Amino acid sequence: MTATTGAEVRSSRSAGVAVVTGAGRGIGAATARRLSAAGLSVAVVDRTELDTAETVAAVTAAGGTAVGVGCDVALADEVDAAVRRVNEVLGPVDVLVNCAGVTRDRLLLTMGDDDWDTVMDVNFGGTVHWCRAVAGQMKQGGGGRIVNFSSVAADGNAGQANYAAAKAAVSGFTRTLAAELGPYGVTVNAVAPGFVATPMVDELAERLGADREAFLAEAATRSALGRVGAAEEIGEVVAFLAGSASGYVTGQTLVVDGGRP
Amino acid sequence: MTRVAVVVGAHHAPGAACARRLLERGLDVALIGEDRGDGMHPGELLDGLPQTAGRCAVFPADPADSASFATALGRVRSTFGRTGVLVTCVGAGPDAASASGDAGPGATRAALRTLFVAGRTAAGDMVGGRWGRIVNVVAPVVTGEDAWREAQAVLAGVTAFTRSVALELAPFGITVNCVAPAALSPHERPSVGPAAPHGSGVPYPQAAADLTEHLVSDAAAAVTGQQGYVTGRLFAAAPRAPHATSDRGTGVGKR
Repeated sequence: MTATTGAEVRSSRSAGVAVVTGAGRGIGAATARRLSAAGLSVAVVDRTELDTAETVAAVTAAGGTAVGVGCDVALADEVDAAVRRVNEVLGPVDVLVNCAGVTRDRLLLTMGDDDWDTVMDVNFGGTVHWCRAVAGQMKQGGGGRIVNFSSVAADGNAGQANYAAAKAAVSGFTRTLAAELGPYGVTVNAVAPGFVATPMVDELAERLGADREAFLAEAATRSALGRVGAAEEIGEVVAFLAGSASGYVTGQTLVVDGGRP
Repeated sequence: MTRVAVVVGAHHAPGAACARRLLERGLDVALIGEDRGDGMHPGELLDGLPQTAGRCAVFPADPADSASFATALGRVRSTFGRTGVLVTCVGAGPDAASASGDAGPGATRAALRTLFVAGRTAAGDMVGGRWGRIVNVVAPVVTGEDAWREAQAVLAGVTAFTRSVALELAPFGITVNCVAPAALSPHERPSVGPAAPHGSGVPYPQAAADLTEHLVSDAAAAVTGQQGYVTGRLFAAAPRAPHATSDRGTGVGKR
């Protein structure tokens, strides 16, 4: 199927509608592809529609249905508009995956207000905005799946006070929302990835002036499995939490980090 | 131990209890917060304390605003001296992010930004002295069955911030810990938590002050990055707010 955007999108085998934010690349893109393979029509959300093109193309090339939606998740108005567009093009949202995230690593004493606000507003605020925007239609539809993205950094990490606080807040919010939406058949869980080879990690290595392969090799020593994760492995866990097999799992944060050595 | 403590969020009952305890131990206490105009005068905090109690003054500022907080801390420095102890008490209230709400992530965002601004600014003061104590205190602002649910995002954020910053500031002799009600722990089942009497008969604000008193002492030099859950009773009544004196912080109360 050669679906791209807007009204051109058609679905021949949809098992529901999934929204994946931050799906232009990395874990979000892998998740979008995986959910499409499970039969869902996928709204690929990223900062601009252009950013979604590669993932939309990959999904449709594999026979799936996808629509690209540009949206700054930190802005509630843009999220509301994005939900309206998804509803118009694909229908009510059955699965929401909040994968959009940014880092602005600094030590506390040198961290600027903007470093704090950006990380908080995208990682935590974006998650809240999207959950709030789709919770009503999930309740009305008799159920749904929400999968948020926390991080192993939520345990605390030097140089990431902003990111750790935001991701921990996502885990706490997940527990809260699970309690509120449980009676309506909506499960709310979070995934906390460890070190995963993604473009965001590549950018981090570059910022630190580190060789990418050496950077990944060092990270691998901090995993019991002795390797870093792949985006597709996170997508598999999300697919489980988004599927019917996880119907009695809610309010949890599932750590996917290859284990502690 | 230095003798100057800054308390942010003394309009929450646990914050006020911590301020009073630090005064009782002889520290000079600067209350930094917004001028709510409806609450506590430093004289009330000092009421009944012994002659050995420290001095107390209010320094009106928006603790979530960097410039405002930095200005207030500068006035604390010129009034009392360099800050050695920071107690930041933040409310764990509803984000209304959930099914019924429409307020967005405001409560958690505001609470965590206050921690960040106060912590960063005060730590800058402490680094020079190679000694400091930061205690982040969680105050439930919703009572009853909703308390556990509404506190989770703030509580988790406070914990993660505390652990991260503790790692960074340890080389400077600065410890960072947090205090929260046991009933709000993520591991606590809501059905047996805030809705029921919990733990000892000591009210949570008093229990939080007990632990904070220890955490700011020299005896707790090796305790950092920790989360102390205390089993005090959650309060039911709305706490009173600190009130700026007419001298806008230049007047110093002393028992």
